[in-house]
Amino acid sequence: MNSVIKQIVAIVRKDLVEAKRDRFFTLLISFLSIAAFISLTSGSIALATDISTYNAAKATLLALGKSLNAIAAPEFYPLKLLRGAVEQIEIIGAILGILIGFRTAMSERGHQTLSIVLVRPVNNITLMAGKTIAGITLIALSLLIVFSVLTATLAYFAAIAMTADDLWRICIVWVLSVTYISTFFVVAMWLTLSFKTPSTALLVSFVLWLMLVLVAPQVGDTLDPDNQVAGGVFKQLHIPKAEQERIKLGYASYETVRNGIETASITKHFERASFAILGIKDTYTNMSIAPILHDKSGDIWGVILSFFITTLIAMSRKLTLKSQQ
Amino acid sequence: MAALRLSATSHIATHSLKTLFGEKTVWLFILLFTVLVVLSAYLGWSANTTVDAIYTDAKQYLLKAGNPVPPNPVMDSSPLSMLRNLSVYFGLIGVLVAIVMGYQLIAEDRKSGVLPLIATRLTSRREYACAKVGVFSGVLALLTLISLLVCGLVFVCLPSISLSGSQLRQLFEFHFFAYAYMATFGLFAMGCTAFAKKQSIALLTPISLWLIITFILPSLMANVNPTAAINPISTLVPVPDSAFFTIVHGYLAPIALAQNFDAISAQLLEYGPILSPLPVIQWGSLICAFTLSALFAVEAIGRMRMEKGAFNE
Repeated sequence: MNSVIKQIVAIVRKDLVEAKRDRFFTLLISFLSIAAFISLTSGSIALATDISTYNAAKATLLALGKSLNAIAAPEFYPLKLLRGAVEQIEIIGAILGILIGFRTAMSERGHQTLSIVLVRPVNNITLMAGKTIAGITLIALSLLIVFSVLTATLAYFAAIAMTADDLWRICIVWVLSVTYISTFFVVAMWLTLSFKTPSTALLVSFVLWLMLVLVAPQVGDTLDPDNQVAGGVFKQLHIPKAEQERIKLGYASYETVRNGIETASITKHFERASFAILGIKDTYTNMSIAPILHDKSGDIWGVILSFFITTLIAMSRKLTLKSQQ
Repeated sequence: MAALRLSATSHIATHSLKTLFGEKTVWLFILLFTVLVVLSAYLGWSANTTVDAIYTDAKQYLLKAGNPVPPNPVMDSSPLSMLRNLSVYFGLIGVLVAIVMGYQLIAEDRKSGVLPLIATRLTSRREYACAKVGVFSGVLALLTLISLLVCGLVFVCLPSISLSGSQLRQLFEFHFFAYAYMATFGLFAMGCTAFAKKQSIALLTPISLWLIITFILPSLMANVNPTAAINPISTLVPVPDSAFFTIVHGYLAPIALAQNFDAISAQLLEYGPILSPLPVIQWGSLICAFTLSALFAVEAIGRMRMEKGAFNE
């Protein structure tokens, strides 16, 4: 048992040292950080514009001696500004996971070190466990940098102190993001170690990314009748809420299929849970964290189980010298 | 001599076609693209049918309640708008297919080590470049034609929906711009694959460019969230009324290929605001990018060191 732990530690250490020396890895983190930072900054600038427009309108109304009830004040919830950044993690973060997985596997295949490891008394599970732990550590550290940049930017733009509750919510989303991206990491690493040609493995990983991250949510989104008419079909027809529910009952099976397509993707689970925790979705704005976690436990488990299932599949695959030729 | 040159070019083109269609990943991407084109037509039809059925239900309630009945939103929309999801699938899977094809066409020769042999048969490097670019352009044109045929079949199968002559022209124009948009990335991928020392860099450079253009630029230029890229309607939000976005939009509009393609698609497939004629900056940027990309591909392939063609990894 002790020797297994030593072997895992040795594999983890080797992968971490390699990543530290690799400029490609720094490039990946910078890419994601910049993407998330741009989304947060542009969201903040758009909100600042709304606020100044509101203030100008308010000043005009007051000068005319009119009531302020005519215009709605823009709502300001700092964590809502993270929407774009979370979506960047959802899309580009998944690619980061794929590339780290590909790179991790290629570091063994490219240097022919996998053949050396496989002829030594190292268990397949030990090897995969070591590489998975190293990958998760790298992803966790990368996202820590990304979320630190985001939190600092948010604190600057919000111009109000972030509360402990805000930081706690960001921490939970960080853990969720690490789990989400790690799933793509494990899949890409497993495919790259299994396929004869590494570039084919990378392309297949991209197909999976496309299907899970973009196509499945897109199909679900498109089938939502409320998204097909500008402003929503019920709003345009001026149908009251109770009547909307009655009409929707007639489309229950259609709605089940639509929701089923959406939830087949780990991305949608990640998005729903993150948006609820950060209060981005209006239903959860200003709600305390405990009921949100309870309400979104299905989506949180969706992300966690996806990770564990893919990891178990990857670990059960026996690596052979033949597949590495 | 001319006949000999044509022969070398056609030999390379034939060999490239065989190699390309011998790759399972290429087939996987082509199959995925075709399925998604069919799916996009189905999704458009399904969404319209559901909205129509909801309208019928809602109309009964409104009549009973004595409220005025608004017009059916489905009747207000153009039959072409049923194909609005095509713009999303061309922008996502279509571009990836083009990148993969562009990459495979050059990478296969570099990996198999046949480049030095090919070099001995050529009188000019341009022959090789022309053959590769020609094969790429032809196969991509075939894919675009498949999409056009699927669209045609959809309208034949739905006799209640008919297109006017100008709408048919718009459908052709949409496919022309979709082709130019996909080819821009595919040709860039060809150039990168000829240029790069490592396989992974050859593939990742065009993909990174595509990610920046599709998900980062819209956010920077108009505060459009990344998931809006998967919804043809959400991408059409106006630029926020702020000095920052006005300046950034002004400078970056010529390179915002994804947004320009979405705007052109919205006009040609009639699901967005109609501007007649098409704004020059939108179609001009797509045509310029396509031309530059083609020149880059021809130049990079032409300058490739064929005697030492293999990748470093």
